[in-house]
Amino acid sequence: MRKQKHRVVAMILAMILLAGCGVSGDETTAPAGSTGEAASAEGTGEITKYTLAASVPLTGNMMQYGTSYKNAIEMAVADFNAAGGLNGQDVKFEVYDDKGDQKEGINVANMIISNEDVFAVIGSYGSSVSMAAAPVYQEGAVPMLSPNTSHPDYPGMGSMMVPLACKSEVIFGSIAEMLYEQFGACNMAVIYQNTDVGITTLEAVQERFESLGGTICAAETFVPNQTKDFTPLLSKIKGTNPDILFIVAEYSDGASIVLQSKQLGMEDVQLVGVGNVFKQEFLDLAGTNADGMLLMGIARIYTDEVMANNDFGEYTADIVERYNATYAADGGVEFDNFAALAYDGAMLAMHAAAEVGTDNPEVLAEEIRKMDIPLCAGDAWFDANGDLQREVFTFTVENGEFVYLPEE
Amino acid sequence: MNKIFEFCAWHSGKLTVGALALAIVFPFVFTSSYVLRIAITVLMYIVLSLSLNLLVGFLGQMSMGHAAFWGIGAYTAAILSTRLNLSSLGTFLAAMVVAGLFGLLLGLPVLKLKGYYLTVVTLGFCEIVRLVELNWMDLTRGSLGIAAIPPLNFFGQIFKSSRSVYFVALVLVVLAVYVVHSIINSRVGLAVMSIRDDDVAAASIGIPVFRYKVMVFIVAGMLAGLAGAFYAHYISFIDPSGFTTSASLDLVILAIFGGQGSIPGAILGTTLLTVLPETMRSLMEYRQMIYGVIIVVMMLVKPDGLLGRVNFKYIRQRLQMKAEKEAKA
Amino acid sequence: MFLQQLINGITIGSTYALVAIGYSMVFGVLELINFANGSVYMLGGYLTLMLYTGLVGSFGLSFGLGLLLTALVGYTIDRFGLRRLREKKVPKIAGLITTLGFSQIIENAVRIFFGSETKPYPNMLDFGQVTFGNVTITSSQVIILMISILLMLLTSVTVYRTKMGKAMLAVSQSQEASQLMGINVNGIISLTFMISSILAAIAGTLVGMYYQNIDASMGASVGMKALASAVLGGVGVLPGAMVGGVLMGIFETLGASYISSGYRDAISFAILIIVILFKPSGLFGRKQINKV
Repeated sequence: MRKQKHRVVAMILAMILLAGCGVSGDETTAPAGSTGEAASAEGTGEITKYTLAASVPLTGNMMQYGTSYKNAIEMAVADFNAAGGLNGQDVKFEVYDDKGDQKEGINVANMIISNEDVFAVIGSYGSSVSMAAAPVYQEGAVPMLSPNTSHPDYPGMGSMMVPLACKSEVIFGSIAEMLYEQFGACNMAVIYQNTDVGITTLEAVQERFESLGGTICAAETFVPNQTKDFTPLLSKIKGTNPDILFIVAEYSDGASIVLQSKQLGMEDVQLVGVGNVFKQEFLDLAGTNADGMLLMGIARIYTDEVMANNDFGEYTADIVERYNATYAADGGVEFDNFAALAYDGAMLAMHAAAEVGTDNPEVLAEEIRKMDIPLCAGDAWFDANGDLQREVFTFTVENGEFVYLPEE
Repeated sequence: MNKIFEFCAWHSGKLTVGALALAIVFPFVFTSSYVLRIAITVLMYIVLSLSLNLLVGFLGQMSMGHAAFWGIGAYTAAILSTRLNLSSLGTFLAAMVVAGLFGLLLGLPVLKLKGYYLTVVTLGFCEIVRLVELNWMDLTRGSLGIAAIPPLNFFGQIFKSSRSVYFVALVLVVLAVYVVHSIINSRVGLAVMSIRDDDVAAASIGIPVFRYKVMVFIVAGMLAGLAGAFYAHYISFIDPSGFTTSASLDLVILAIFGGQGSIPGAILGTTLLTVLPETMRSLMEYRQMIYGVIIVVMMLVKPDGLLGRVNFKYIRQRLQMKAEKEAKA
Repeated sequence: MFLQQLINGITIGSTYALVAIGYSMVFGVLELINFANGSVYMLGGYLTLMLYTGLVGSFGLSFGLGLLLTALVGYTIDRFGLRRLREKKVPKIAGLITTLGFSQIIENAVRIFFGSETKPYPNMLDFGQVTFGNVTITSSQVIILMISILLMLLTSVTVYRTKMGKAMLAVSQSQEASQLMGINVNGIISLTFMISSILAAIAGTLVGMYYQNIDASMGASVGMKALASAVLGGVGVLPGAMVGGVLMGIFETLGASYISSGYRDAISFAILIIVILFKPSGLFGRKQINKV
């Protein structure tokens, strides 16, 4: 009896494996212009697809960012349709929740590529999910615009990938230079989150700052969302006598770090923050403790004060106003750089589709990369190496409000 | 309900073959890659759920760090295939060995711990493994993750399309079911269950409790490692974020929902719990909350899990005895 | 600097301790780990904040109401989730899963209804700070430690000295015997849940005020560490939970400053595991005699 059972099972296994081997499978994916085939160099300009998809976290830790993305893309689609749409027809917007989880991101990606009406996808929030989903979109030949994925390997995942955030090595080298010019060869301590953004930023800054003659006197890391207490790290840092404290963190951790550094008596240390602290919520949490802090990065700030005192152009100002009126009315999150990038991403995809048609994804992705439409998140372009470059902005905080410091 | 169980028990052999046939035919009927990928995810979770069920359901050890083995398997496979270009057979075996070793590592010291002390130690183990994955940059690249993991590669054949990957997953499931089934229905299995019910009594009648406990830990670890290796090749990018204590707790829910100590239960429960959230997408942000409600309700209605107390073997024996009695009469 | 880190550690630890006491109590009475305790901790902090900013102006009143509502949530978990399981005599793991389900519900409900952004929290405990050389102690730190000790004493006195507490001890030893003695077992269990929820809510509010912000994911990590603290001190032993909590806080802080900040939590868990391996019932736990 036993032997029989064993043999049966072995046979079954062999059968299945053979079945798997023999059939290399032709499952249905987006049929139009698979990247494997030799696609014609020029698109025919035909518009056959009308759906813009988005894969964002609508549940889970990252829910707040996903909601910003969703709102911004929604508005962009509405604006685009109001201006005529794709050859007179409305663009449809379909948003999917990927929970900020890799497996969900892949499920959503598969769902999106099997939808034949999708011409581009915006997503996701965070490198983990974007990197996991990228191969699926590449296989399925759907251009993928990722608003804030700065993982260095992301662009290399394929021709369908359009990052809207720069790799850290591209911008943080110049930021380190700017700091050197301002503060000289001094001691810089870095406190960074243990994510791809944090690590690559530390590397870029350390390399450039030290090569110019500065010193990185401390580099402490933490796992985001795992603790609110940075005093052990800050005490350690304080002991190395830094002149500058360079913070790479989300706005909530950043605010805690700022607060706690003051509590520990580090008043004379120059605080520098990058990227994700550029939000009104950061000020809500940090208050006047952040006064004097320098904020440098590719993100722009759109708080009422900043908008009132500076001119980022009619295009941007109008978007900010309408977004806040619609989505920030009763306690919603105001327009911030995440929303701006998502808005730009949607517009890029839709305008490119209008330009070159939706039948050739390669051509569509190329057109998107040209980035020659107005952008509300600031100037962006792809350089000779194929890397994304963006304008770098500098802000500071005065009296608990963001203040823009334009380049002189 | 009972009639259905009796039917299933009586025809269990034929039903198993039938289910297997359906599973083989499935990808030819449903060719959408979306559906196939969900199916692949279900199959992988079944392997994980079976391995955890072995530990929690059969041995009765409340181990809540199972995602660690999954992660160890995934990282082993990822590192070996990206750095040494090992074929999938090699990475699978390596992943199983390494995960099994860690199973031994975890199993040995926790053997004398009771109940919740074990739980906390396993939680701690999971957390430590994840933090090592996050911080040991040279080995794992930390939060940058390991990208471009090559697809499944057996004997020179590359399994890339959803359909072929599905079949590999199916093979793994059959393997896992076979392993778990063999263990359960052997003398070892009975011994393991007696350990669950009362380990002191078991020891007093001569069962080598220590040896069997360690064995189950190793096997559970190996199966989870296998699932992890598969996962790495399937997803092609892994980072520590998927292997947290939350993931471990989710696995516990998966393992118990279908029924403690029941193989068909594990399969059924895992399938339901993986497919259900997909169908609830229209609920948007309420989806997760409703998932929690389903869990609570399930425990209220059927705390043993879907097929928890249902022992098909006994039902069949009972029916057989009844048939024999009627034949005699 | 060591002294400063020690003080930081003790403060973090006292907040773990409050939640740990909750775990210990529920475990003592039900032999169940209440995985929803972490979410209740977070919920308590949120309710106080929301009531304070939204409806009621006075912090004290909001705090009180928040505690009441949280206690109600704790009661609900027991009454509607766990009581039926007790009646059905199911394996312990079912209860565990139920609490996991509840924690999902609570966490996601908070995200949906209160938003998932990190919110600023008013610090009502700020009465200044004192500095001795290199060491700064803030008033919030002192108050938190004092409240934790006070609550620990209060719960201990309640459990070990009052009639109701004796009933809890009886129930933890044997539910059936207690029923025979005329003790309202279900009532005692519900009460235990409510007390542990109140403790967790207080901890959540204190932590919110100390760090001046609050977010929906803070329950998960603290829940894990508080559970570890309860086990470290010996499950079921209340002063043990307090000591365990403070120790975990100290290990974490000292580990982060002297060993490695990246491996911070790993260090405290590693120490926990080592202690448990040498003393399987925790620091103050009683050796359980297994009868066959």
